[in-house]
Amino acid sequence: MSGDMLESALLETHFDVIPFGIYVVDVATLDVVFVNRHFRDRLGDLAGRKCHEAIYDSPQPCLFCKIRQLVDRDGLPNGKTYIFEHFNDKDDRWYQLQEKSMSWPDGRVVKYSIAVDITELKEVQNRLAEAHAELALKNRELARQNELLQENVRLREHVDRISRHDLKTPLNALVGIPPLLASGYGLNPEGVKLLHMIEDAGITMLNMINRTFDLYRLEAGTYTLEPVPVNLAAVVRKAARDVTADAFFAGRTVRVLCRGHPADEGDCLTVSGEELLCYSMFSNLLRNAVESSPEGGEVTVSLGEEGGEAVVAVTNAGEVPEDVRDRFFEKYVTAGKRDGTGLGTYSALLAARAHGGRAELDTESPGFTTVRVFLPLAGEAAGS
Amino acid sequence: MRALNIMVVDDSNLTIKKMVKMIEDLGHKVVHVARDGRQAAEDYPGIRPDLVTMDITMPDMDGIEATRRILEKDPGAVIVMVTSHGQEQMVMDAIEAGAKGYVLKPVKMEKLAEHLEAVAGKYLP
Repeated sequence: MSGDMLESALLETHFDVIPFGIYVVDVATLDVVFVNRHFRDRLGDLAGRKCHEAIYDSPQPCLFCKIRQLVDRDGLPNGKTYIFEHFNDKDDRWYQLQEKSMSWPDGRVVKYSIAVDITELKEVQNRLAEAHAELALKNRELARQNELLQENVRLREHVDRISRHDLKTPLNALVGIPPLLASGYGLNPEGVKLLHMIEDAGITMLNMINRTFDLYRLEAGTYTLEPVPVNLAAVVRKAARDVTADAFFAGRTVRVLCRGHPADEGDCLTVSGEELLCYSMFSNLLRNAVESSPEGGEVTVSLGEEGGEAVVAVTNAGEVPEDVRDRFFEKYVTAGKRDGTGLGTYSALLAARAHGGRAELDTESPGFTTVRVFLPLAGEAAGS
Repeated sequence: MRALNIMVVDDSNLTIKKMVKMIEDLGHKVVHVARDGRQAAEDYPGIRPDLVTMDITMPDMDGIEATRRILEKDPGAVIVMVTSHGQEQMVMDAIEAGAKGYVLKPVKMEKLAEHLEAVAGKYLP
C-alpha cells in the first residue's frame, strides 16, 4: 500500500468513527470522494457521483454551495470554516453543516462537510417562526381594518358636515325673518311674542345642529372643553321649557326644583362648563324622561349641591327594563320609546365626563327612574 | 372546503413531487408548476390559480420578488410561502411583500391541509 493510500485509509477510518454523516467532495469537479460509515449506512456509497445529484437530488450545483468561499484564488484551502443550517428535501430533515476545505492525501483539494441532524431542534424553532408569521399577518389585517374604519369615520363626518350645512340653510330664514316681521309689519304684542318663539326655536335648532359634531369629538376624546361659569338652573329651566313646547309632548309636565323649591329666574346654581353642551345634555335626558313616562306622568328635575358638586336628578315615572339597566348609558341602547336612537343617554354621559363629571342611573325607587348628573361647581377643577 | 386550483413554485424536483402528491391527496388540483420566480410571475396571469405555494430561495428570481410581481398584476392573488427560511427578517419581508401565509419545511400533509384551509377560508370566496 502506497503512502498516499495509507494516509487516505487512516483519514477515512477517522471519519468512519465519527457518529455524524460526513461527505468529502473534490472542489474542482464536485465529485464525491468519500462518505463516512454513518452516511454510507443510510445513503449507500456515493463515491464518484456529483455531490448535488447524489446528496441533494439536484441536477445543478446547489444555490447554497459554499465551495467558492472555502478556497483561495488558486483553488487552495483558505482555512475558513462555514457553519450553516440546511433543510434537505431528499430526506425531509434539517442539518447543521460544518464545512471546510483541505488537501486530500492523493493531492486533490476537497471540501469535507459534517452534517449534524437538528430536525428536532428546528421543529420548535419553526413553530415559533410560524407563530411569528401568523402574528405579522394578523397585525397587517388589523392595520387594514383600522384604515377602513378611519376611512368610514372620515366619510361619515363628511356626510354629516354636508347634512348640517343643508339643514342650516332653511334655518337662516326661520332665524332671520322674525326680527324683520316683528319690527316693521305692525303686529300686535301677541304676534310679536309668537314670532320671538319661532326665532328662539330656530336658534335652538341651529345650535343643536352645530352640536352634533361634538358627539364625534366627545367619543374620540378630542373634545376640548372651554369652561366658563354656567348657571345650571337657567339651562335646565330652558331645556324643560323647550322639551314641553314640543308638540309631541303636549300635555306633559316637567317640574324643575332648585334646592327643594320650584325654580324661578332668580335661582342660581353655577357650575364650570359650557352652556350649550350642558343644554344639550339636559335636553337629551329630559326628552328621554318625558318619552319614557306613562301618559299623564310628571317628570321632576331637582337641582342641588352635594359633596362639593352640583347634582341634577331627573326623575320620571316608569322603570327601565332589568336587562337594559347595566347598559343604560351604552351607545344605541334604547327601550320602550318610539323612534329611540339610543344616543340620548350615551351622549349625556359623554358630555358629563367631558365636564369632569359623571352620570348615574338610580332604579332604587319602585315605579320610578332617576338619572343623576354630577358636575363640578364653578371654581372646582374641571376634568378632561 | 372546495377543491382549489393550485400553482406550485419551487426549484427542487423533490419538493415539487412531494407538494403535488400532498395537494392532490388533499383533493385539490395542481394546475401549474413553475421552477423559479421569474417563470412564476410570467405564467401567473395566464393561469390565474386560486392559490400559489411559493418557495423563497430559487435561481433567477426569489419567491419574495415573485410574490411582489404577481400581486402587482393581481392584488387579490393568494400566495402562501412554503420555505425553509425561518429567520424573522425573511418572514417580515414575505408578509410585507403580500404573502397570505407562511409554512416552514418539512411540510407534512396535516400541516399543509391546515394552512390551505385557513388561508382559503379567509381570502377565497
